[in-house]
Amino acid sequence: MIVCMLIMNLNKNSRFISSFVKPTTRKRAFLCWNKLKTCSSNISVYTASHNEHRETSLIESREKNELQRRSLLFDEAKKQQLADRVPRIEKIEVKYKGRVLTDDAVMFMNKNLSTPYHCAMHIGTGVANSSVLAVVTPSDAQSNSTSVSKVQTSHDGELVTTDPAKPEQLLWDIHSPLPFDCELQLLKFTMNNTLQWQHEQVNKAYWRTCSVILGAVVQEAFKENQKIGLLKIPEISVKSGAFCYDLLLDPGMRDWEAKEEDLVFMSKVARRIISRNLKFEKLELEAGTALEIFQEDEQKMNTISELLHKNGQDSSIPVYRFGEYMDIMEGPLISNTAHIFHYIVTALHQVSKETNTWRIQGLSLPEELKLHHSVWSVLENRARKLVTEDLPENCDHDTDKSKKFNMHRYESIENKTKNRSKATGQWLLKDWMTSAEKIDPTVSN
Amino acid sequence: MPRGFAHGNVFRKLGGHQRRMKLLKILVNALIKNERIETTFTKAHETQKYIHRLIDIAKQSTNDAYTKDMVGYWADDDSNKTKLFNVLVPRFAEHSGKYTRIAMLPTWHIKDIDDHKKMAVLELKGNPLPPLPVKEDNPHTLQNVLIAAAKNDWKAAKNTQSVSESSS
Repeated sequence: MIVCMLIMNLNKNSRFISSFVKPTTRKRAFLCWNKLKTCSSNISVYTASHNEHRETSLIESREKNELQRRSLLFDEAKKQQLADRVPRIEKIEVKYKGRVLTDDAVMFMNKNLSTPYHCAMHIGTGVANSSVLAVVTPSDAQSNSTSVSKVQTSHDGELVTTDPAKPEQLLWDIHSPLPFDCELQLLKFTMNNTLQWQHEQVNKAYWRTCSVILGAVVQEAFKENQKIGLLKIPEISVKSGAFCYDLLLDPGMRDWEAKEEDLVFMSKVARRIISRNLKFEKLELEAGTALEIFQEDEQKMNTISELLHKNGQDSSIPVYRFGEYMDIMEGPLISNTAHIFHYIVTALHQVSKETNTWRIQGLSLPEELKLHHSVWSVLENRARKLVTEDLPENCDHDTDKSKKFNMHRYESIENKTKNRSKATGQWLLKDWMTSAEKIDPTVSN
Repeated sequence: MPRGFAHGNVFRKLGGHQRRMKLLKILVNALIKNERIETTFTKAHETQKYIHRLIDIAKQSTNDAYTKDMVGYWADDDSNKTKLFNVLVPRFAEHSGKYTRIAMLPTWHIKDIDDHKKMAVLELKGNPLPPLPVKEDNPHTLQNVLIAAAKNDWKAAKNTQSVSESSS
């Protein structure tokens, strides 16, 4: 135990472990330290005056340790997968299809190591920075069917031609490695008018990333003694006007109503997360490691078991990590939070009183598609209403409670998160207010 | 700052009041007849405002003295008058607002000349000629999808409101 304490830094907020220690001992030391801390918190030797402060700070550190433990396990799993898949470096052929014929390129990249982002960097930094999703078509299917280009069968005197099997177009995250020969297309937020499917996929992926960030915001915003279960991200189209996350809040908060200040606070918390320019890393974990990571979270265990039930007991579970936060998510996500420009939390609605499920909604737009504040406020007002797209019709939510905050016409939640220069009062572009306190001050349960 | 440039608006003199009126009348008639004309940018920008107003007046389809005066002055020819009421008004029946489009023509070959004029093409929307290579808004990007959805919501709300008003 003493060895552990020597190895770890005693500062409770530091994540940086001394680098001259071997990784395996580091991990063991950290897990021992974790146990020590939790044991010590159970032994109550507090003075009366410092009781509350000590308690909350210990709860805080417990959360932080939990997150650190998870990311350590994630790192371990990642390293192991790399070691399994790359005993020695093999090459794959990647055909990049650009906007115009002259942009096409053929590249030899490393199997299971190089990502679409690396391919883009070979072409140019502009392409690499502006691309957000990748469409990958594995070329194995094509090579099989070149011999059978068209089959002509005479059936009742008519010639019937069957086309060769179309290779699947897979959506790929930009930062996840490529395992086979393929053709690559990089998608941006604004492309040609005619490419509707591509735009739809990019918009869906963007909506998903924003919901995932909402999950992290919820974890950060509420006090630690509140139990919050993140239920799921409902499948909602972009046209409904807001991205959502379904939550299970503390049973003591049944009669709570979200006020404007709470929403502004949560937007600032979101800004703090987004401003760190976090990459979204994907890993396909086995069921065992996933259960180990999400040990202490009931809801996540439920989602894991549901996924296993749906896809079969041996399927892998896709887990995304950004910074310290992790979430289980199926579809592809945006590469980096640096692409986000507008981001606000617009509403917290109580969907049903019996089961205490709530829905948190938000609105966001990327850097390339900024809006004027007048148009933005119109969209914001729309996003404040409860999104009922995937809720059953006879849901018992209050539709009469129209949450009209006492806001002037030109006020919006976003305006309250902007930093303005003290001299001129103008908004210093891209300078947003971030909240430093971890605890939601108005939630006083 | 001269009054004509305040608030980003441009009030052009175009050679004097009388001359300006005659010029604009000619241009409006030409636009109604040909549906696509090529002039300088300033003249096209001015006729846009008058054509929008004229079509709005014609759409109201009231037979009072004001409409008769206006249509009588601006759509001079008989053929233009009939075209305005029989072709353009039904074409723009559901279209609210801007009925024309301006496309700028290239200037690289005339920039070195001192008194070069920026030429533009002014056309009525929905005309049967092959389309101009003007960059239209991309309806599939995220912000346009959201705005279109918000517009539909607002329209639906307005319809239900009007229905309830008419029924009550």
